[in-house]
Amino acid sequence: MTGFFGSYLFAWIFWLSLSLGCLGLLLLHQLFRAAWGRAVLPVLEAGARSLPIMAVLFLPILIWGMGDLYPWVHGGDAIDAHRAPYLNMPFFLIRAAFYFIFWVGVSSYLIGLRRRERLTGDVSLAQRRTNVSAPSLVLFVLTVTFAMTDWVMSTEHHWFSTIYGVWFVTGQALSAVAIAALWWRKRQETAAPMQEADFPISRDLGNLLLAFTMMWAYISLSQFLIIWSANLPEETTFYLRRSGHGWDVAGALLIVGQFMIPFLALLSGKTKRSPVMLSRVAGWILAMRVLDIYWIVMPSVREGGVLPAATDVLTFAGIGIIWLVGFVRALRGALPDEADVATAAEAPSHA
Amino acid sequence: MSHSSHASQPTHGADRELLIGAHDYGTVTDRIAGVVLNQRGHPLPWFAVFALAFLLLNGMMLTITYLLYRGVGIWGINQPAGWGFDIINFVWWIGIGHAGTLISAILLLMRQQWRTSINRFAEAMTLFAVACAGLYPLLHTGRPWVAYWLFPYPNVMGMWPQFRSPLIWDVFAVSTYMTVSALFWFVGLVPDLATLRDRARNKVARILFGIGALGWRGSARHWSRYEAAYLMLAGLSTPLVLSVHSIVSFDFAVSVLPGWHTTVFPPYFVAGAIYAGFAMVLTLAIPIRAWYGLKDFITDKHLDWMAKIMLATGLIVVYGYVMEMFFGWYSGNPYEGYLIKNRMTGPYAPLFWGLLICNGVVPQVLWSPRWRASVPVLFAVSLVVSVGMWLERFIIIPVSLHRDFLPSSWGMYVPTLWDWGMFIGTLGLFFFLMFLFIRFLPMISIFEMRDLVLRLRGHRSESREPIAKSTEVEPV
Repeated sequence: MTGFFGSYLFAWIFWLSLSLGCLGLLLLHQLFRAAWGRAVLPVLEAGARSLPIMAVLFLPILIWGMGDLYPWVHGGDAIDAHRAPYLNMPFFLIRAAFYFIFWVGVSSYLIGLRRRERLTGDVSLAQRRTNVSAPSLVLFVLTVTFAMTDWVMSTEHHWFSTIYGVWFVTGQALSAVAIAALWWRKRQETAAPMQEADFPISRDLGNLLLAFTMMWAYISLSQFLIIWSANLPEETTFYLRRSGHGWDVAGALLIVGQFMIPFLALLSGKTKRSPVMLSRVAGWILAMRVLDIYWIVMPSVREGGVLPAATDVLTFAGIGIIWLVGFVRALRGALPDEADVATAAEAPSHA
Repeated sequence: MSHSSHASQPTHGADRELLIGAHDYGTVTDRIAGVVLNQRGHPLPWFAVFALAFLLLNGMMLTITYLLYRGVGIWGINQPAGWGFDIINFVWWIGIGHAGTLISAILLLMRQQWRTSINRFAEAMTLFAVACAGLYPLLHTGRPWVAYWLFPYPNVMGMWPQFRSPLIWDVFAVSTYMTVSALFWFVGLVPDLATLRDRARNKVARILFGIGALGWRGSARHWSRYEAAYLMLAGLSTPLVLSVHSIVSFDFAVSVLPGWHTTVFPPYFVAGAIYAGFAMVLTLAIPIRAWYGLKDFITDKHLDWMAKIMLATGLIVVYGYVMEMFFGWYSGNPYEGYLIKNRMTGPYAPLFWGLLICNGVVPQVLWSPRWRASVPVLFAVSLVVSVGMWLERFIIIPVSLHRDFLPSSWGMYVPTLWDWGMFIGTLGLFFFLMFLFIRFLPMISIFEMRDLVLRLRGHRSESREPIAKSTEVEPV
């Protein structure tokens, strides 16, 4: 069964990270209220709406998979005993419940506020969204950090890294911007004909993709360099596990695929101005994100080579279909974007 | 002038608060250039601060002279605490510089209007802070006259630096940072130096500003090249905001010492740098705008935004503390665990709790818009943050070093009078240079303020002098 739950964890973490990335950007947007955020608000809300489904999909791991995935469940050595006050089943469940209640709660509250704002035309509600989002963003980063420590990092027996939370938060944001860029192209094709005012949105999304791509590379490199330089046995296990059986090739592919190619492509203003070109880069980045999560999760939960097993593909597709159905339904029922609100609130200063 | 965005692009409603009063191109120019051109108009506080800074600077000269005569033994460093004030203050100063680069480069690329009135003196602050920072490792080498050995040049000694050491990356990172910051600052000054050249009555001033202005005539071609160069320098500076302090953090993180070796260090150091930098910008901006009557340009809106950035970066720093403490425990490593305990209850515990109060607790008042709007509160918080960030480096450096793995190699670190002399001396150097700068160079970018006038008021305002309309360069 180990094989199955390893695959399941990888698939679940990938799709969950899309939802969390959308929630993170949704919170961030309320603080800046930038044009790009107003334009892609529906897609961020729809992504965050899949969180309850993801909570339900965590149940199989909790009920059947814990023993297979997490070595601390069996206890054993001194470090397991030391960590037991934190890593024990009841507290693990309480934390998981808390994370999901917070994520689902804050996303539905924000979406609800915007709905009320639409209905009543009460502009003060936008300020309330901002006021809620600022402290929520702080709690969001903390909850994601501890959730990923619980669910992914603790699959490694003794390993730990203090940058891990930031690594995931950045990767999730990268995925979410990529989805937003894909959706923006689709919207451009189906909705009203492209207007000049739409060009900056595409460019801003491209710049965000570029920024998060660089940020991801910066964090990945920092973690590697610090662990490699100190060369402590308790820390190098993470990279040693990923340096054979083809995992090294996958790691190299990530450097080229998730950093160099998108970095070079996004440097050019031409790529960023065209929603079509941008969506291609975004699609590529999403594919690399799958590989990235696979590279992070799988070597810890399954012995063996880099080639995916049938269960990997099946669970990925299975959870993916459920996530996508939820996402598309949420998108259909979503409130329109706020681009029109923006123009009304902001009279041009001069011709 | 519009290198920050399209002139046709509407400005945000909030941007209207970036300039107060009935200003047109002429009054903006008069007010800023007047500080430099009217040398009689300097307020009393200028002389007071300058005199004090000059005194402290002389104290620093004395300290350095004695240091070169006797050697670094006059400092409190010892075994096991081989790094003390020399590195604490290096990291503290270099961190302060980062806000200047963030404001001038990153906010430019992000097309943020509010950088306009604070970028020039924030950049000057960067230069002077880096100059103060550079002194410490230079003198800590013990033989600064052979500091050029740090550079890899072919030599008959057959000696090369250790390229795997972040200390040598620091040499490159900091010298690149200094060079690019100086260039960026100077290039931004050129059009303003031309304005001063044209307005100065004093012949010497005219000649000196004329040399600095590099023959600037404000032609369309000049503006077009200026914008291209300025954007390129902004692009070059942007990675420096991250790289310099990341490399400084590697100085510690690549070791195997608990308290130093932790993977979150690079982003946590960068956030801390920006945090301390904005605190220093506020510390300088609040009194200077009052003394020189510049509240129309450096408005309460600017202070509000700087306070928000300080709050955000401060929260990232606190996140770093949480991660350090949690994983120090989670690791199950007895040395990591002891380090946390030693910080909380060891001989330097008051400094640790002081750090948490200064960096973690006090700045939380900035959540409240009412407190943020209070200038005295903001000024006090910015001073507290400066102290907090200094304490943070004290906690990281000597407190991690002083209790080595073996209790037989434990010791204490106590800074000597000469340590304090050097630290207070660099404060003197910093304020000495800063106050010379605000007296002899335009501390706010004149032409960018004119651009702001155009952007906020359009062509309605009566223009007393022709302004140059730039060609538009697309930001990257």
